Amino acid sequence: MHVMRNFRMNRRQLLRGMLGGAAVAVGLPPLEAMLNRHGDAHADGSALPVRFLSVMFGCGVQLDRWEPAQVGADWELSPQLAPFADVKEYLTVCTGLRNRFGGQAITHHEGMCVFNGYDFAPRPDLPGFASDWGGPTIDQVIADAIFARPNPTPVRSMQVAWTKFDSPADNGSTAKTISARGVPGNLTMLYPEANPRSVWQSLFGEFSAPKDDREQRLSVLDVVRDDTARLYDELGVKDRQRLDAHLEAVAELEGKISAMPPACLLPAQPDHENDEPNAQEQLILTNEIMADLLAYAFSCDITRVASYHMLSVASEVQFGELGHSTTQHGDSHAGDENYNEGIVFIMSRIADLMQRFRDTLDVDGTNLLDSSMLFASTEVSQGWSHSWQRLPIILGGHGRGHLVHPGIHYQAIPQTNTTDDYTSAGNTTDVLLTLLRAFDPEAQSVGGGAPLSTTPLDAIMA
Amino acid sequence: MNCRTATSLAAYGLLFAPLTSLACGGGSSSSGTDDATDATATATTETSAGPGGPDTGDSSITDDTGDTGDTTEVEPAPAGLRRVLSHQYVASVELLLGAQAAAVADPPNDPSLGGFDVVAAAELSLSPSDVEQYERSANAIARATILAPQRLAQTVPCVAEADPADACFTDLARDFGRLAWRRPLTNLELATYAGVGVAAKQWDGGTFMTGVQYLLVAMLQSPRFLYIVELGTLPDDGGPRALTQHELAARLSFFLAGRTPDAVLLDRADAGTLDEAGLREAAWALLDEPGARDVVARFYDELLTIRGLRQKGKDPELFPSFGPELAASMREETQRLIADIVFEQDGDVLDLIDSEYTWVDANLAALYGVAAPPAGQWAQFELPAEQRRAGILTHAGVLAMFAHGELNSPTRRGLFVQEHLLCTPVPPTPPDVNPTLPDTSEPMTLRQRLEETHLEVDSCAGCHLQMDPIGFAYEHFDPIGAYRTTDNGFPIDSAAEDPTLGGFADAAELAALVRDDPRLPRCLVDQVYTSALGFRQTPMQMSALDDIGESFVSTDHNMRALLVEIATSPLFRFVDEPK
Repeated sequence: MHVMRNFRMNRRQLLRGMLGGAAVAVGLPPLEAMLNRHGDAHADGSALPVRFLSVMFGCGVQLDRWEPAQVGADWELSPQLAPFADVKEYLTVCTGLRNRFGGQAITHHEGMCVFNGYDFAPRPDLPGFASDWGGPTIDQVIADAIFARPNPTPVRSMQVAWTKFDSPADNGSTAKTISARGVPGNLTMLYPEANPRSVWQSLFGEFSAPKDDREQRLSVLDVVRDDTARLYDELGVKDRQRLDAHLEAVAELEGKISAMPPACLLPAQPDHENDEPNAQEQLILTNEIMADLLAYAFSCDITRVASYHMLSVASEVQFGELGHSTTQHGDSHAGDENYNEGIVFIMSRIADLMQRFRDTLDVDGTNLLDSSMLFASTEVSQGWSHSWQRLPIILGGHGRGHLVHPGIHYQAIPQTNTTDDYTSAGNTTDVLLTLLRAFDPEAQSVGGGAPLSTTPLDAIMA
Repeated sequence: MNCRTATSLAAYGLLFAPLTSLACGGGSSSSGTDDATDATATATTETSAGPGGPDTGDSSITDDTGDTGDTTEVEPAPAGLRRVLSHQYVASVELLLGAQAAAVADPPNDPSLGGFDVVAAAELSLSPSDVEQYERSANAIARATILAPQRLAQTVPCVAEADPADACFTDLARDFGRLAWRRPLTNLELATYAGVGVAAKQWDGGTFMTGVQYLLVAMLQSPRFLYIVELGTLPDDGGPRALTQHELAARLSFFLAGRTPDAVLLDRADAGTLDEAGLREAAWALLDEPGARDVVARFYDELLTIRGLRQKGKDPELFPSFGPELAASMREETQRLIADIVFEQDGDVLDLIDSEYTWVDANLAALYGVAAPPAGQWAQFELPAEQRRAGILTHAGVLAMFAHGELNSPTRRGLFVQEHLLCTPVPPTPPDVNPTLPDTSEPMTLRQRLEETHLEVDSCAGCHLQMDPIGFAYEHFDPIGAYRTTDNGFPIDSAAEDPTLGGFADAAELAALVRDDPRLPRCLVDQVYTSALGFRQTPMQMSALDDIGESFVSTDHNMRALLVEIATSPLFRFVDEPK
């Protein structure tokens, strides 16, 4: 019962930027009904939820300032990891891993293999730099695993973005999202939403709206589904796949409309729309709101999977809050002090997100870093060399004891010198398989082709 | 220029670096694979031979009217689904249900592939959040409609009757559905959707307009509304698939009016009069409507990328005048010139490249250094001769889009001319290039910096010779397009030579060379074709596009005639096997 008293959204109800109205009260089921009497599982015996968040931060780091000097459990934060001081016990850092991308590289794209373990699909038909994802990203593989079991959440997964300014480095889809759903050759791109108001709508809007016409809306969707199916037979393979995705989305919408309201107090819709021009974006504020919205969504069990597309590959964001008039991409080529400031700024935002998760109590009295796993990486280790080896990898939280806690610095192989961004060993996809095992203990592999992993990384497991 | 800026600006230019180097301007890289990568293997080969290509007779396809030859060597774009773009969705709702309904229409944003939203619309699947947003939008539209049903009543008069019978739901499904779905409904569809109305009316205690509301919600979420369905029919003789009359009406209307076809056009489809001649007549009629101006404006918004101006960032200390207002003025300047040449003059669209006049408002007058018109007004003016400006390539908005926040990018400006205007691909940066440049504290211009790094290193010069010299022509214009005579305190040299275009002294001379290059009109044909159907041409469409290119030249590059020529070509009237 003590646990029950602690179940509350340990968040201020009016967040910065959330001035659109009071929090929306919804029906609150008796909390006592949610857990077993030991408080370590749901009353129906199902396990308490583990959550996953993938984060893309783009443009790399300076390895000599980012990689910690010590390895193992007894390690200290490097200068560019210093912002994580308050959550260090929940932080594991992986360095020196090899990205096993095996295709023909086109600059910046190949590193994205770190998010799915597949080579990208080239798009020679599109002008300039262009590729598509070659297989599903890890967040979507995890969502598949979660939805393979009963009692899925009302929202399968959520995709959010931070800065809106990507790059001309991709005319395809690889640089536009880190969430690709489906199987190789049949993928649905889930593009991230950079407007916090729209994120709120996707996560909480359905539960804040009147439900008096639910029956009619579901009836209409029935008709739409039948209509869609009738069109199916007339189409070719590619368009049938598109209609399959459409039908799946209709089914998920039906599930969301039918879902019980979440057992928590919903946040107010933010006023902030993140629509400022480059260099004027309020990125500190945007990150705070996105982090809070995701924390709410995880705590309320509205979704258990999210991706956060902070910076794209070769992002041309200008950090106006740092007074920068140059872009992070340009600075990453220069490898200068602006680049360092930008990296620390990004690390500070990820650390702030982790703090907000740490400060959010879950239904069982633990915090969201105890129940979640965050995976963050980037497409190049250092911007000026375009190396896609030794990619920096951040793991946050331990996913209810799945990952090592307190966190460690795992290093696959040391640098040969402080500027070495190529020497690498192992397989970055091993990290993804390790994460997937928290949701599907029987999972045998992640990815395909050269980057395929069949061997989880034991060193980072609890 | 301090060291940091010098290094970073040189690095910027290397965004598009050469294909063969292991090092560019500063030592070898240790990154990437051990194998040198031949990036040309990933480059597209879209450049055509230009006008005067293959025998035009080879590109025709037999159609149901039998009026265009008898060979089948050209493959049109595949049959299938193309999502209605967000602006087309809103414009269609306005036509169908009125301005109040359109005001609350809120479809998902359009992703883009290869620079064109329509390519993504023909290819990508809808995500769950897209489908949810369509549902939310449909509900909002329907609620707005029953509060102001006047426009709907013009199509379905019974909805305005005092006490309509349930039969009105059938009328609604039939008459509204025909416009929304761009074809007559089948009996099964009529019964199904009328049934939605009847059920909703009963659910709400017999309130007729509630039935109207949910019937509309259903029809607006149907894939028949959300996708443009283009499947065609196989003729008995085994020839290529011809689009049906209703599919042709829809394809034509979305292409030239940016919305679902109106009742008049659908009547012509019903009557079977959209053969090649009928299609031509209908196309010209649509080009006289206001929607055609929006279609052309959107095409150039995408081609020139100036739709991104509103969110383009510039260094606020260096360019304090740049903000949303100036950015909006920049875009409007270019769109005013386009509208003037294409619609007011009905002239040669290549004049866009070397036009000697443009428009300014008070925001732009200061930037161009000319007298300002009264606030809120626009004035046409001759470009100042001493600035050597010419055409859209020296418009502030285009120059601003292809520049960084604090300095120019001759590389990007050159690449824009090559890829967007001449359809000449430049290979992407090789993955193993090391863009770290030799540090130097010697003051110099950006051009000198790039000449030292990009053009004097063989491994870089291979590709940068195609881009940087063209960009040098625009060095008299700063990152927001304002005229300048010095860079970093040194005089600017805008004279250069492009391997294909030839030598030029400045932007005006370059404009003349670009205008006279046969790749320019042929490239425009390809780009308009892509924007029409969301399909990037392959070699199988080349000869038919060459035919259109020849026709385009013969009309002295009349844009409206080009749109009609595309709309009546076999590539438009036929489809290949479903994709």
